[in-house]
Amino acid sequence: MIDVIQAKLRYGGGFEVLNHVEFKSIDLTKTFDLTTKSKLQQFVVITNFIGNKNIDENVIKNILPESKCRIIMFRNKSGRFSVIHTSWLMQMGFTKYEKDIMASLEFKVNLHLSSENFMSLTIDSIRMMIIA
Amino acid sequence: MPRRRRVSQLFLHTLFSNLLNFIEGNAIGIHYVSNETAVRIIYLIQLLVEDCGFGIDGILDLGVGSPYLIGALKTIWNESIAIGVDLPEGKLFYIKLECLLYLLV
Repeated sequence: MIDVIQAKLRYGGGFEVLNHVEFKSIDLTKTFDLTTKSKLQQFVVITNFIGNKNIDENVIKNILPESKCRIIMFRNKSGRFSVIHTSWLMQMGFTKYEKDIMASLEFKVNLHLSSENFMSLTIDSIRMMIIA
Repeated sequence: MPRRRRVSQLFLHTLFSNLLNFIEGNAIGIHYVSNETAVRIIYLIQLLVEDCGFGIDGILDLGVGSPYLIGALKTIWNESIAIGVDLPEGKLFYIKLECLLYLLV
């Protein structure tokens, strides 16, 4: 996906603002090396809408401790966001935002075999954790 | 790689991804944050910034996919550092395949 984005930007596709965004390909399921870890810990706002438990856990355990993060958002897939993960976050000083945000995550089917793209809408929710 | 083999790999990849999404109870296809949700997220962050009084100097979007959200956030906080991170090619597919095998076995 990162390759596709970078290729599009290289050939002048996309918005101007995206040229000022750095796109990186990192395996989020494994523990990070020190350089990557310290870089990822510099961000105040983190959004993580992948909705995979292992990745959520890796982010909570390896990025959040000693990080500058004040706002983090997770995808609460069908209301199944782990209770343990919520309690870990609360132990780190985060509080849960009043209620989960109802979100629309659009989806796209692209078979690569034809030029047809089908668009529709699905509803999921986002859990926002903050340090006030 | 021969074209026919590449096409069949892509077809299988799409087929399995869609099957796994279906089993997980999701819609079929690649998900990304809609414009409406991006606006809602920006609004909430702005409220929190005003209430709590901290600055946004770094934004990290994990699983960037189609970079609408990170683009929108960077537009609002254009002096902040923004990074979009995604998994290496095919990694998410294998994660989902593991889930499927776990469900079947």
